[in-house]
Amino acid sequence: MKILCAGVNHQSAPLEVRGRLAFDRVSTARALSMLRTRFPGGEFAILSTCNRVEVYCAAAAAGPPEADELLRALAEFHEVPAGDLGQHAYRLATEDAVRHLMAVAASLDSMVIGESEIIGQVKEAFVWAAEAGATGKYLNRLFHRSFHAAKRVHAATEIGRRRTSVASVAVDFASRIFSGLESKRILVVGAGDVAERAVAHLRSLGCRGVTVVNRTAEHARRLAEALGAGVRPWDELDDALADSDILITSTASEQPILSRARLAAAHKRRRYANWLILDLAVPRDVDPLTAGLANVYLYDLDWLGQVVSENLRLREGEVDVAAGIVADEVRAYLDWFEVRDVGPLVDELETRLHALGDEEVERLLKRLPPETSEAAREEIRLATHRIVHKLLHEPIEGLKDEAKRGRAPATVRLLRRLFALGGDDD
Amino acid sequence: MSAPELIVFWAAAACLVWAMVEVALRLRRDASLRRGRTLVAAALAFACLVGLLASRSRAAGQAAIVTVFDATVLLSAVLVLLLLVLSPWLRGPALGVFLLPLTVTLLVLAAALPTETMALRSEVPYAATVGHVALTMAGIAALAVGGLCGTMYLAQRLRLRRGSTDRLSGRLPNLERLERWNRGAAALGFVLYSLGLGLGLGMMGLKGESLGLTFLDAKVISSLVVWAIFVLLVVLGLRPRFRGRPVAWLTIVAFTLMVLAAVGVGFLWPTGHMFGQAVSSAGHP
Repeated sequence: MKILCAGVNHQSAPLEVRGRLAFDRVSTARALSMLRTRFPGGEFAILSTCNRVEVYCAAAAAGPPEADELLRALAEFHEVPAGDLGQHAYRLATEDAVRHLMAVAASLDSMVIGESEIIGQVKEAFVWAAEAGATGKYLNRLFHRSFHAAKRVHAATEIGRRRTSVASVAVDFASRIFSGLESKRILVVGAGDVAERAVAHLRSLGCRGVTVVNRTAEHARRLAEALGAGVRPWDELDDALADSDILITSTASEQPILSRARLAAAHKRRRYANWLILDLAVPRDVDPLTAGLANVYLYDLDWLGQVVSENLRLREGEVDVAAGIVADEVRAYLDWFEVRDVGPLVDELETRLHALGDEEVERLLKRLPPETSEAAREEIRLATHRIVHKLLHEPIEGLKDEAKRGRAPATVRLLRRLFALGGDDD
Repeated sequence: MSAPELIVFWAAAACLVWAMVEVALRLRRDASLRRGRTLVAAALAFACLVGLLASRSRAAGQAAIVTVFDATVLLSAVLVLLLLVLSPWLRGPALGVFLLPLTVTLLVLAAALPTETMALRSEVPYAATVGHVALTMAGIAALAVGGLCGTMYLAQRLRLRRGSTDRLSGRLPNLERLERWNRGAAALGFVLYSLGLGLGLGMMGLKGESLGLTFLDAKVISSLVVWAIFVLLVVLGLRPRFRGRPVAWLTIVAFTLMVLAAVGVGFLWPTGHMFGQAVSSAGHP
């Protein structure tokens, strides 16, 4: 048997090519059906995300399809010139294909290493393939092993815990200050894009009380509509500050609009409760000296950016550990795969030799005196069975060892010839 | 202390050190297996400490909380129990990082204390003495929890100020929660300690002469000073301006002084209180 992977990803192909090859649930089912018709006996799965489109296949080692045939089928399905696809595609066989899927599931091959969405996408791809009846014992086992690899990587490393966007770092800080973010009041001063993303992130965690204040009322209304937030006029800024738990500023002002004294006065009205201030404006909106106020946590864009850079660096430092875990899982799968590959031969060998043994025993039993008891006859049958079993033990173990070393095909051919088993599994 | 009791005592200490090692490893890589091993080690330590106290109670024929050694062991056991009870809610290693070193320190301190049991004085009712010690110790335990929350608060705050996202920062509870726990523990501790102290002062008022205790006794003065700090802590905790870091620091200071008042006074000054006598009667200065 062989495992194949053919496809394109964010490193090998531009977005335009990936976009033309993308699958949804319905087209995945159709493509899987087409592949099964074209290559009977094979197992297939299609993984399609915004960063990759890949076809996985398990098929007989000597027969079709080859990776190029999978790519051609993919190109035909999407009516894309095969040549265009071929120049951007990669083709991976057995060990490389297994390693690739496990790395993908563990988010080691993602655009942002450690992102958590990919494991859900791989699971979805597997479910769709299984529902279409396109998977079998080889791909079932491979995908489940990949899920296990991903789980181990995420449990044993920090790879998925480090935040890698300004908005997510800001939210991380907020969750380390406040308990129950949903009851916190957010004030947005200005209407910048980064602020909008940060608020969207906070809202996804349940924050509901968002108020927008902006010099230009029209901009404030537009942003408030986009965020589902309330609006307060600019001249109520001090009151709005006093009412906030999280302040996000993102104005286009050339000078800091929020002095230390102004914020200190608001902080006093807030009874010195914890206050998270995210200054996402360039240049700054908030006087940096404000950070000295008790229970005020002020972060500007530079600082958040540095945290993001540091987190990315630390994530990459974890890649080696994660790759070690993936290598373990690849080895475990290949051990099973290679031994499983010789399974049919082992069954045939056992059946053949036990049949020979039974045949000879029956011949012997007919020649024995009639007064030979049934117990003695049964003992002879069992002894013969044990002898055959013992004779087979060493060759079968040796065959499994050969399989683990990747030398199974030659040994399989030899055994078939020696024991006249007929056919060629390879 | 008998040889088996000594073995049990050091077994408890060894289990706590084991739990500390597991917690340190969990800071690097948290895993359910290590979490389980931490809990097993803590549970074994707790069982050893409870077994030790039970054995000493049986041998003395009275509750083993009269001597300062027993009280320190009891406080350690309460802290370990707290770790076990809170573990379903605080699944990360953060609580263990702060609680286990404190518990081990208390056990090391206990190891340096005299272990002879003392007979309770017959001048005062048995229940009143046990109630006094139990309430005071419960107050100290509650303040220990407040102190732990305060320490975690300061650690989290420092990381937030630096913008740090290290392994510990993500595993510590958030500031608001720690502040709430700190205040709650301090308030509960204040009530318990006040009741314990009140009971003690009541006994002293009634039987002071026969007990050899006066208001000028070092143990009584130090306990009242600690109570005054406790009052300050509770009052400041209610004032918005002092919320956060000052209260966290004050809780830690109050807990430290409380332990010193409970254990250390007998080392420094002569006292008629049984805790202090236990220390000086064993030949300590």
